[in-house]
Amino acid sequence: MIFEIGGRKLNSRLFVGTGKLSTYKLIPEIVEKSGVEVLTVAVRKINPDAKIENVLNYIPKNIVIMINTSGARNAEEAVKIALVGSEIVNSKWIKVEIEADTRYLAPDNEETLKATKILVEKGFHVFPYINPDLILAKKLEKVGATAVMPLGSFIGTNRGIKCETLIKPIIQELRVPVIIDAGIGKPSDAAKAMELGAEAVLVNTAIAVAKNPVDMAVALSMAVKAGRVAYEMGILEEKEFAEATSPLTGFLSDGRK
Amino acid sequence: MIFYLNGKKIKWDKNSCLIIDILEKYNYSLDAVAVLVNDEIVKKDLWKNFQISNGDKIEVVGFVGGG
Repeated sequence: MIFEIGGRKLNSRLFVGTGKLSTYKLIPEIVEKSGVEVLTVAVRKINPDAKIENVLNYIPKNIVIMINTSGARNAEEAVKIALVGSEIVNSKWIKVEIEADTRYLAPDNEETLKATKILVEKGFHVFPYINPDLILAKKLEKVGATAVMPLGSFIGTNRGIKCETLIKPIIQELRVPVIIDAGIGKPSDAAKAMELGAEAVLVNTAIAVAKNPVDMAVALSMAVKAGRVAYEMGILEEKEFAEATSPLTGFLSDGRK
Repeated sequence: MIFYLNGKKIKWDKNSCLIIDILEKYNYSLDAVAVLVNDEIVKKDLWKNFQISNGDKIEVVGFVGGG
């Protein structure tokens, strides 16, 4: 089930963040076993005395690298991080993540819109991480965002798709894809996101801190596939009363008193 | 001359310094970093010619794991 996004044809609807991994050495196996094709990375100062490994050395060549602007506190900083990142790696995929709040890491929707507009004009494929707000999502679509990425719940909270009633209208009203980002803590959350009609999900913590990140990536990948198939088949509406599945005729008791 | 590398004061014992000199001295992997001087990105193809001035603020950045 190939789909197209940001100028790329992809099979996997599971995008994975590379933060919090105990070792980057896990990345190739995560990619190989789960079939993930999009990975996010962040931009940071690299000090001469710090022995920080280069995450790029562990990312297979065919992978789409999404540059995350995390750490940006406003649009100006996000744009700078995107430009710096694209100097290092030949990627036009930018996750705009702008947080002015440290407790909830809540995205700043207003600054995110500004940064998205600027980066689209510079030719990037922009994936803004947002609080689920339909009107903002429409504005992002209008300025040319490749997709919008509303949070299911706050980053790293593992609480699942708590914002369902706010995300559904975004999925229904926008023509651009909706990727549910943040809060997905387990496979059922990922399946739920896909059943709602998300184009893809972005998961980091649930995989990175799992006992075995490779196995968890595989589990999430299966859940994403299952949820997507179910969405395409059509999710049935919920009903108040029971509706029999076995025929309501020919009971053994028929004709007896 | 002196300059600041990622906020740390560096005393350079020569009077001239190119970006490439700094990157090589501190063993940066050239294909893994980007460089900003006084908050402006200096493109890779200019590193061999870009002269650092006394007091410049240099930032060397790269990728790390992130969501």
